Amino acid sequence: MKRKGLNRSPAVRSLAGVAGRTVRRWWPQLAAVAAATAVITVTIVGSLGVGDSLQQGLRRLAADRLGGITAAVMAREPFAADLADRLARRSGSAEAAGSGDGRFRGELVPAFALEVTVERPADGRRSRAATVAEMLACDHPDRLGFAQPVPPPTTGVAISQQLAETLDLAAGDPVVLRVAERSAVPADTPLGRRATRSRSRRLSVTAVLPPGSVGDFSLRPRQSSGGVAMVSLAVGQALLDQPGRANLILAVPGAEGEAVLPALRQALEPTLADYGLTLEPLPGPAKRLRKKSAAAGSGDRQPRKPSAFSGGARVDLLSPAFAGEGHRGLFPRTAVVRLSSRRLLLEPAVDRAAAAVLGPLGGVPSLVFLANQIQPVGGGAQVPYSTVLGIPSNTHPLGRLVDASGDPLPAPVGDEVIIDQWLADDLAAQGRPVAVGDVLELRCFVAETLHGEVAEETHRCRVSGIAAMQGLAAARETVPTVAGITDEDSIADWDPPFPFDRSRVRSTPPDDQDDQYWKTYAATPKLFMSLARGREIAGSRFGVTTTWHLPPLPADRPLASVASDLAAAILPAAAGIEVVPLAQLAAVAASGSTPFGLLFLALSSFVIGAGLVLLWLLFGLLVASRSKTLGILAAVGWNPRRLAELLVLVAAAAILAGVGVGMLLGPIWSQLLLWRLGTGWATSVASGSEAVFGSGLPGLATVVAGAAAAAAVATAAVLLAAIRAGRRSPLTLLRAAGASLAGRWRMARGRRPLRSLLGLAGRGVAWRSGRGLAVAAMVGLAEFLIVFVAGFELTSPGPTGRRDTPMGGWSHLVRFAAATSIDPSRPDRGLELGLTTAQQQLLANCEIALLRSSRGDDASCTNLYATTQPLVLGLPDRFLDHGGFRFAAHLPLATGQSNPWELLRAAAASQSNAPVPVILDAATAAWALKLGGPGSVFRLSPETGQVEPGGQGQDDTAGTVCQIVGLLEPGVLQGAILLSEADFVRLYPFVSGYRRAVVAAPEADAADRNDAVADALATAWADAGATVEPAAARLRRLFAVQNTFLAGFQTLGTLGLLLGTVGVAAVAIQGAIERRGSLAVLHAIGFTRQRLALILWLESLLPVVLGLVIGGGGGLLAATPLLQTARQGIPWDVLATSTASTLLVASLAGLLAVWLLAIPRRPAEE
Amino acid sequence: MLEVESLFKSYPTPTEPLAVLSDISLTVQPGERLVVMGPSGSGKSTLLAILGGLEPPTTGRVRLDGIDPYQLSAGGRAGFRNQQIGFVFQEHHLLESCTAVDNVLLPAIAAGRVPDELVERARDLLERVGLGDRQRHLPAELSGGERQRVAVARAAILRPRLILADEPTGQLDSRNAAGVVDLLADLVADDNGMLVLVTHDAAIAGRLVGDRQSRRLELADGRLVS
Repeated sequence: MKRKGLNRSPAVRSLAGVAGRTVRRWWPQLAAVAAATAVITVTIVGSLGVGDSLQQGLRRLAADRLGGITAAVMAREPFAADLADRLARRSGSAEAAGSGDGRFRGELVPAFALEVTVERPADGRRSRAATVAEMLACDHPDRLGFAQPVPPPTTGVAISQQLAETLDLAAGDPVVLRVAERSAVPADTPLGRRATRSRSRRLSVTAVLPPGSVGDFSLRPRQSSGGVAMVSLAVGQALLDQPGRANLILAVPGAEGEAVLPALRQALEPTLADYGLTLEPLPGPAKRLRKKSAAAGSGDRQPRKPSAFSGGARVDLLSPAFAGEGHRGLFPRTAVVRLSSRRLLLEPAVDRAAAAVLGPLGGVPSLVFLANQIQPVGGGAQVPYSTVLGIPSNTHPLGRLVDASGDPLPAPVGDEVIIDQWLADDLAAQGRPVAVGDVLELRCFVAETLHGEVAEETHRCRVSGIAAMQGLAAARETVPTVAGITDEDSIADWDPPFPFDRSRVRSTPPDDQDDQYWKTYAATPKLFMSLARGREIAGSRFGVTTTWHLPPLPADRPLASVASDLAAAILPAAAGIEVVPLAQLAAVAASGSTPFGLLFLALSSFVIGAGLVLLWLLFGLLVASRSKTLGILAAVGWNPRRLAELLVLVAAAAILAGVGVGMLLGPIWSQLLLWRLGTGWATSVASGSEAVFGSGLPGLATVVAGAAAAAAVATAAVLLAAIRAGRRSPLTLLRAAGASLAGRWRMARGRRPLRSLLGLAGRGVAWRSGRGLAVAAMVGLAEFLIVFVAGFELTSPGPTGRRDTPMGGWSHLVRFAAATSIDPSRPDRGLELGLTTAQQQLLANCEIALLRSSRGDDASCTNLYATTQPLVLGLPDRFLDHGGFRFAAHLPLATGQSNPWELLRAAAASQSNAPVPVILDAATAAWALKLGGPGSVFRLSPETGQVEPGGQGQDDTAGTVCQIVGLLEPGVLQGAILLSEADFVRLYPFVSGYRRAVVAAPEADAADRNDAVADALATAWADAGATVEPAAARLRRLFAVQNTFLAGFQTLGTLGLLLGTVGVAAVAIQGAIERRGSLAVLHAIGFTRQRLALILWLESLLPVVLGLVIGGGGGLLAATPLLQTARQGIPWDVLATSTASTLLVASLAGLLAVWLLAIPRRPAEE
Repeated sequence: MLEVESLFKSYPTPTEPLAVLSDISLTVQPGERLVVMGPSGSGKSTLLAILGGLEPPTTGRVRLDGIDPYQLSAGGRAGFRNQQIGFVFQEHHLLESCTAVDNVLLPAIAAGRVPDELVERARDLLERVGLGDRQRHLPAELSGGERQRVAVARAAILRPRLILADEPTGQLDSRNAAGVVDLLADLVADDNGMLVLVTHDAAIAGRLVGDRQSRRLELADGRLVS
């Protein structure tokens, strides 16, 4: 039958035909070539697949966190919730959109979103437990486009599954939502609240939100959710004491592809009320007196000035009714108009807009501040707690400063001040009359507080005039409303945030002068100075103006239009309201903090290299074994090119088959790598992360690209070997002698006669040096990868007490949901914070540094998402003095300095236009943010939080130029840009308070002590929603990330070793086949089979040993700088394990290969 | 003394055993040189393999100085071959990776580490076979005759009692062939050893069988015919 078949087969007429026949005859060896190609393909496709799948996972997770939300209007301070309705009306109209195409037809949902502390109260079964979660207060979660819509919340709270699991909660359980009380006045100003108070509300869990619902919500893309607590907007507003307000408008497009951002940006026109501003006509003196007498007659407290946000008498300034007749009945046209802010100081952006809009209308800026004490130089008399007004001139809409005869006083300039008659009289009554030219001392708070500490400073000024109690001197409307001060009936009732010494206030008859003044003139200033001087004393990064006053508006200029113009002149983003493209940011972030595909491909290059060597080796062995066939073809006239073409064609079949198999197995390999990464990540870094790693298979494009790359490199390797084989002479091929003698290693010749089996094996290896080197290269590459990667393994965090460790001597890290300024280590704060005596003593021994913090993202390796807005931390002097941590590199220190942290302080004191010095960890600088090394500059935009490498020659508005002055080794501060507090407050004038803290507790290495400190800190900072984490735990998480990746890379190294082993077996088998005759002779002359096997085994092992020595040594050499800087030991365990296992496996492979071959008894059997 | 008694060798085939050697008996005295002649397929090489302890006979006995190698273990037999027997094959079968002197020393390496005196002997042997200046040459750098002379030196390195040469001149010209045969004869004579040389070349046989220390046997169809 067989003969019949052969007869029927057509004659070979082409190269392809010969190749086809050859493939059929050579298939066993070609199968090996195909297998090597498959390994290369699997490695490339798998590596690219890791990146692809991970990105898919990040994208999907980011999308899950947002549901259908693509953008949001976000604000630093809450705005009127009806902004959503106004925005919807404008963005949906053709007028706002400019054309019909740009209209927004989707949903705009007002909401509050912020971090809250969720507590599970103690019950009979369980103790109290608490965690920080994201509260979403929103009435229409069903409109947010989540895959699993949930009904609107009612009176209770619906919690995410993660939160339910964390706190072991179920529907019906009670929970307490606790949130820090918000202060509109910046906490870093004397009138800002620094001691955080919290508000809480007990609610019942109405439902546990299923996965895929709004329970996955997060504004920031992150791999694991901290949990979501969803309440109705009303409940959220009540909890925050922000009725009618929201801090977020979530935009869900009506149709896919709808241009949301342009429509919203064009339509976003916040009103003054949205900015927390009030532009109000002031009641005249007559009306004020009427109100006062009515209040006094009824015996009631004077009603508090209506808040701009609480409705009351205030009207919507954009309302048409305001400008119409109805309004005229409420406020007389002749009223002076005042612009003031909830935050007391007008933001610089608002101040600029006011100058542009109100200035031409006669508007006058002023700055009010508090003088804690006014006294003549030398003392003898003093007046406590008086307001001071800074004015640009003596022409003020509320009147002028006039002397007793009614003549205007010259405006104060320089250090001149005008005091009112009451102050002059009071000082005289105390026995220290003052006259024009006398010098007064003003004790005022420093404009900005640091670390929650208010400080006083004294200013001297010269009296230039005494104003009669009329006009501006009697105008209480110069002072904006300050809750707890201006709305109190008596100065004795003040509840100020600053240290207030009631004993100094004269409020008890007959010495009730201060109270009498308050009751008559309220907060009306007693002292007037130039605006410039006032700003020197009380201006700060938060602003330099408290109010603008406008003279009565002309008839053709309704207040509504002024308000509208002013609102339009304020750049929303500069004033803290902006449209944020959440979906776009999520997509950018989903590109990943690390290009995992390329990273794995880079590290897989070792495996790919080993695979190529194996492919080259196998193909070379194939050519060697078929040398006589090729010799015959060469002898009958095939030229080298034709021979090479034949070989390439034959190999192409194997390569195609290998690539096909690789395309099938590559995605599986990527899934295995991802599984390993995901498991490690979820276990050690962030639970819930497995969702990112457990995404689907890589896309077809990735698989095809990887396969194409694999086919290309495999073909290139084969092509070189084929050309080399084709060039051999026919005789060389016919003799199957391999390469010519000229190509042999001279080492084979040997300097001295052979004396041992080892020498004999060595000659064998040297004779086929190409094969030996190939095996050595494969093993070497793999060993290099394993050992080099092991050099990066991070193990011991070191003792807590030492400062030159990755923990910097800090034992605990604290993050606050709400900014705070409380330092619980201060002995006087213990009782106030609810600490036990033991806890007070414990914390008194702790060193605490409060850190300022931007609202950026953690750029450390624990964050899989690409960080576009990295976290920036402002380090106080206490931290800089503490020093610590390990520096990988830093700029040169000044003579006599040894603490690299001084670089932040020293440079901060230099000229203001110099780059801001920053320190960050080397890994974040190099990988996550790609900023470069010490000396590199980059731009940091405090407004957007974005960072851009390079700083020279760019648009100055793109941010502040920063310079890296030091790079830290891996440590607990990884992932943040660190600068001095002085620079931080300069760059982030709108950020107030401290959101982070580091704590150094003595003897924190003892677990019980560590826990006790953590408990005490959590108690002390409970109102600020503190999350206390031991520094060692944070470090372990960071280490776990690196070690998880290392494990993945070592898996690749192991694969490389496997390839090396295959190479060992292939070389051993081929060597034995080629030398059957020689082996038979050796057998004949007395070598036992065991000794023959020993020779072949040694021949197999020598290249392996060579590879191990070169690869292991090279790996150690490459890792040496790292080992030195990280003060880690040589990874002997890894070295020993990989060496031993490689030797064992290679030995077994070599022996098995040899043993399977029958060594002929005599040469004739060859 | 080499004693062969009633040696039979057959190989199984699908139909019936194929007899290769039948009833071979002979003795070779120390210092004696035996030339075995016969046409191709007469069983010469098989006889040599049996004498050399490479292939056991189907029946019969082989003893060299009273030792039957087939009574030894595989390891013992290898040692026996190593110490008592030197092989020279039609093809030189030198290790291409080893120099001439290395190839000569191979039997010594099989026995363990090579002492200095054996290295000296290897050099002497190469001098003696006329390759004193080619000791560090690889086989590929030697001519056919030179390679075979290296093989002869290899066979003699451990002063074996018996040298078995299977068509050692089959691929050599007459001048080289004569040289190799003379060399074998001389080396055997030096140590009062024995030589069994298989050839189908009458001229070679005639060169050896010229004195009383030499004998010639004819083998045909597996039987000694003279």
